[in-house]
Amino acid sequence: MEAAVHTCRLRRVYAYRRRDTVVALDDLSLTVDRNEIHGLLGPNGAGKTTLIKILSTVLLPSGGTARVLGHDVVAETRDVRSLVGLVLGGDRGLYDRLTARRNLLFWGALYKLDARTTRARAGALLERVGLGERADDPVEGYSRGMRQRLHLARGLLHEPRVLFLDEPTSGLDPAAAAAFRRLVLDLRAEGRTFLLATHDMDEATALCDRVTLIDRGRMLLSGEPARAGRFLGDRECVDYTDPDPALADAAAALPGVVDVERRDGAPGAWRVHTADRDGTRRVLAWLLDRDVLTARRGEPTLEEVYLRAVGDRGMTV
Amino acid sequence: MRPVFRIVRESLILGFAEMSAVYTWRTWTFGWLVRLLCQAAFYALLGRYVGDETTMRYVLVGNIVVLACLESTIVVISLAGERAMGTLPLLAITPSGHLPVYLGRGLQWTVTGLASSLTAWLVLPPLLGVPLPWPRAAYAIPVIVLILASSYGYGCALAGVALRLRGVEWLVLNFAYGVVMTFGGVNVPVDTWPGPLRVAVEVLPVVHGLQAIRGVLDGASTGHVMGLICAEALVGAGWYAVAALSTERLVSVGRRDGGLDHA
Repeated sequence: MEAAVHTCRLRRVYAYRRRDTVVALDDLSLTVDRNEIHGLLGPNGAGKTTLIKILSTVLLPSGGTARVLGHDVVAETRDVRSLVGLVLGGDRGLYDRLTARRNLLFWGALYKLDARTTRARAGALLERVGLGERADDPVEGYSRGMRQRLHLARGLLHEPRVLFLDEPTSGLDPAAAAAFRRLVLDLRAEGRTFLLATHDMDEATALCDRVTLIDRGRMLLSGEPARAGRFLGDRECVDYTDPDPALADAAAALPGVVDVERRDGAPGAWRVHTADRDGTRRVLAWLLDRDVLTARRGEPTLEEVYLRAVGDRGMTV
Repeated sequence: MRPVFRIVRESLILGFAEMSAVYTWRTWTFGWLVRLLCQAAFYALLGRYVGDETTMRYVLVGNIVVLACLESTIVVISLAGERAMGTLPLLAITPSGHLPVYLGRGLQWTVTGLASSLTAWLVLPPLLGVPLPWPRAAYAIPVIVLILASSYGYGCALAGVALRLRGVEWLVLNFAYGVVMTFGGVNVPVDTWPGPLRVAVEVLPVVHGLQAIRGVLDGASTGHVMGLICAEALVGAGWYAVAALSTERLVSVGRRDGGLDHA
């Protein structure tokens, strides 16, 4: 069976002022299985949105191939368009003077749905995304979260099998973001596939079956978020709790220790980063010798992996 | 209902919803419409001042009919708004394609254009003491509708340019209307222009339709009038073809250079 999304050495180069060029995607090969929620992580300008635009046929690639459910995005554009839904983040992409329902009726006509089907789906979707009571209010009065839900409803109107979401929870309050994630999980349960570009590591960890981290158009790593630590090679860590900072200083001097840092959250919580498994054993034994019984082997979080992979970029784009 | 008619219907609803952001029926009637009537009356009175009753009627008829063109070319602004709203890429990837929307996106201006022209046609001649030969003058009304249609195609074609160049929509709109107003036989007969210019204006909307209306009013033969009407229809069809090519190119270039969703 064909993968939901498959790209092979996908490349996209933007030309500026005739002579300057920027490589947005550089030989990117990626596979998203059917019925998967796949997270696309990376700093600003990494190429996430460019990839989503190519897969949704908004943009042409400069090289390589991309297929959605077996259809080539360049040669079989029409087929791809009927299979995918594109949900952009932000305030743009909606007709502010129309009501939410009227927006959906407009897009339903463009997706060649008959009037009765469009009305039925629009009503059901607006209820589902929690806009039922405000369905007949003009969109110009909507909050950011309500607009985002309407974006999703629009993207789902023609019942696409693959959905591309570009930072869908950006700017949402935590409760709205959580509701949005629940909705995505419900939709996945119905058999849909999601490719989700996000900056939110908690979102990626909670929602995605697999994540791919890209930077400067290249893939840095790809796999399950819960096992993100292995992306750091032999890097491991030991977590412990002890109020004495001197103990942390002493641990930092041990052979095989890369770094010791104070952890957010609990007071006196520390994380010792080790170079390899031997280093981990040594630190655990050393802490137990000092009656630190809270010591345990830890897993680097997705955020730590992300920061190690692209953290040196800072504010640079 | 056929899909394309549903798209046009939804576009029309959208158009009137957006129009309501600018006008209420009162501000449209007592602001915009009165302004158009004053414009046509001004030129007509100028015609009487520099010429005679015949010149006045010539200028009045031209300025009433050209209102249809003025309003329907506002489609340039409506279409440029799609880029600002960020809906261009979403429109481009729908199975229907962007063309039905682009062609339906400013239809509200043809409705208001018809209302303006007809009001002017009924009100200004008696008000300014320029009698029209009724009931023959009623035959001008379907020709005004045709001029609205050909001018709308002209506006759609130029909107493709405005969408590609970005930020030039008002320039394009004023240029589009200004060219027709100046060279289209509205105030000065086309056959007074130098040869090359006379040939060039043949492709403008309004030119042939306006001549047909003048022919109707002057009691010209049906064959002569029908020939001019066919020419106006042909010019309109040509502009729709250019509009289709222009918007197609907008999307194909946008997909290539990535400029489709830039505001």
